[in-house]
Amino acid sequence: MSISVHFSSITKIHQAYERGEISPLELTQEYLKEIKSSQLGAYLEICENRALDQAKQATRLLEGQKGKIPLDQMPLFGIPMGVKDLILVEGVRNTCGSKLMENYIAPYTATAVQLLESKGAITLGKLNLDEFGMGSSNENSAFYPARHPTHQDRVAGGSSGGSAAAVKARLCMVSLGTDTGGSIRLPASYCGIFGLKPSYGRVSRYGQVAYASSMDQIGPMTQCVEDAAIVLDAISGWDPKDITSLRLPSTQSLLALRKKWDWKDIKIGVPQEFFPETLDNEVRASLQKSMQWLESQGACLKKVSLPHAPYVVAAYYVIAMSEASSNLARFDGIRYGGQYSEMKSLEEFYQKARSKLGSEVKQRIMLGNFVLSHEYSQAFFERACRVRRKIKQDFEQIFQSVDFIIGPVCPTTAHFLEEAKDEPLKKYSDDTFTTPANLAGLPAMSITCGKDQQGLPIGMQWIAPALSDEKLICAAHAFEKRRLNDAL
Amino acid sequence: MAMIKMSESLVRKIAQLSHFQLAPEEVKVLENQFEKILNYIEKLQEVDVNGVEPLYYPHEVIESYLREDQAFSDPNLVSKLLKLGPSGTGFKVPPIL
Repeated sequence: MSISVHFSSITKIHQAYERGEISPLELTQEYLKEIKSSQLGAYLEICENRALDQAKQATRLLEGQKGKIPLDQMPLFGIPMGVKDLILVEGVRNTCGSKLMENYIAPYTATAVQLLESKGAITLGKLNLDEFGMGSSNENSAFYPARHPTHQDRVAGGSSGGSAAAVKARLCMVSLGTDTGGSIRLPASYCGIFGLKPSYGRVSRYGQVAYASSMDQIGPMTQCVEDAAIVLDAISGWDPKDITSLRLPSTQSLLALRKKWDWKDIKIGVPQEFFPETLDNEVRASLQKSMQWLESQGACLKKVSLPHAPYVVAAYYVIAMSEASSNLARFDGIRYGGQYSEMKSLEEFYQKARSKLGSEVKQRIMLGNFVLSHEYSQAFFERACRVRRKIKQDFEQIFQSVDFIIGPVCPTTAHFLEEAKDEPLKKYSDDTFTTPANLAGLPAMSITCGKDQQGLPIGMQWIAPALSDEKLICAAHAFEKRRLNDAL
Repeated sequence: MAMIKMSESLVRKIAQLSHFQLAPEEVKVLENQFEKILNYIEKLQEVDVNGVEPLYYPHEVIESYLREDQAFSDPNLVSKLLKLGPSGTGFKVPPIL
């Protein structure tokens, strides 16, 4: 019966429900069984009771509706989902991948999760991540790393590594990740799934533990593009609880997918800065093959330039560390986790509580405090924000003449566990291609375009103008069809 | 701007500002790493940003988002939050005097 969880899309599950081949309860039980026997480390917490309650309710509803799913109200009816452990689910432990938060039980549910549950999704559990989202291999999880689903001596990528590994290994049908500098796209690329970082402000951040508030964005991680469209349509839209969420209705991506797509109408920019010498040869070759295919379909590819690309990672880290040092000041050991009653002084209390943070998080907090200090804030933080505007202007310039920008997600495919340890700048350089979209608030995605000789997936990144999330999904869908035809 | 020279004492000062207690060997490692990272981000100084306003958020929306200053109450919220304390009924703080 374990074959039953191997559905390739939300629609396939819905068909099986309506034909009576499996019930939401049976499917949920199968997923829970798979999760418990998995050695990947994708999950940090299983919420079995919540999942089973939701599944029973769905099963009853289906019986009451004579086997017909109320798809308009519940586009995610009976769909087992996993949630990155940085996004709150009421009553469920939320560790943020940190020892400091080991015992923190969320007092409310994040808007994105609440929307998905109200539209039928079943929450199976919380997924592994780099501590507070800081990292790109998932090895900064304070508990254990999420391993690559097909090459278990390698990393799943990060920070949403559990979210990517779980979808690929069929330990959930869809998952939510968060992306501050590439944390959805990079693990999606490593694991060979679809990952979308929506435009900044499109999805409410309410209930997402903040890392760098001006760049954090929740997004879908799925096996196929259509599933991501369904999830994005469900979670996007204005939320009065998040002042940075835009006053726009939710996206209509699924509807947009029904329109005819013609590559002949599409212009695509290829920034030379995205193809440096350090780019792995197999990644380069795979992207070139995809670009040839796009041209053969009639798309117009043209060279473009992001002149400030060499400064992107520096600007990103200054801003991310600065915002992180402010956001993480709340972890004082009193309100979240911690709790030492025998301390003599407040200083000792803080120090004891914060000693539970991992070294990467401590480093970023300290550097954030340093670059924000009176003496240096003009030279670093303010300057980084000025460079940020120039980066955004670079994109605006390019998007006057193209619909999308394409390039790699990451310079390489998934590396071995422990391979990139203790080399902060090397790790940071992995973010060269993903951070620009966060700085400029643009929608961006990773879609698998090939595999290297080891059989490791290669992701291709697409970036679109702000708020053209639907169009980006349509392009992904059209590109995905090519992938299916080539049986990659 | 001149290159920033990290030192053990500067690392200790930053750690203190951040409420971290560092072991002596940690200080040494961080001194080295901070210097590398700071030298890397120093290249931001090369960019001509004359007359460029800082961008703090990706979308600069003119319309104010701020909601009406009205109290919002969830009758269960207080007890939910207090439950997070160690005793299940509240929080303890160390003496500050």
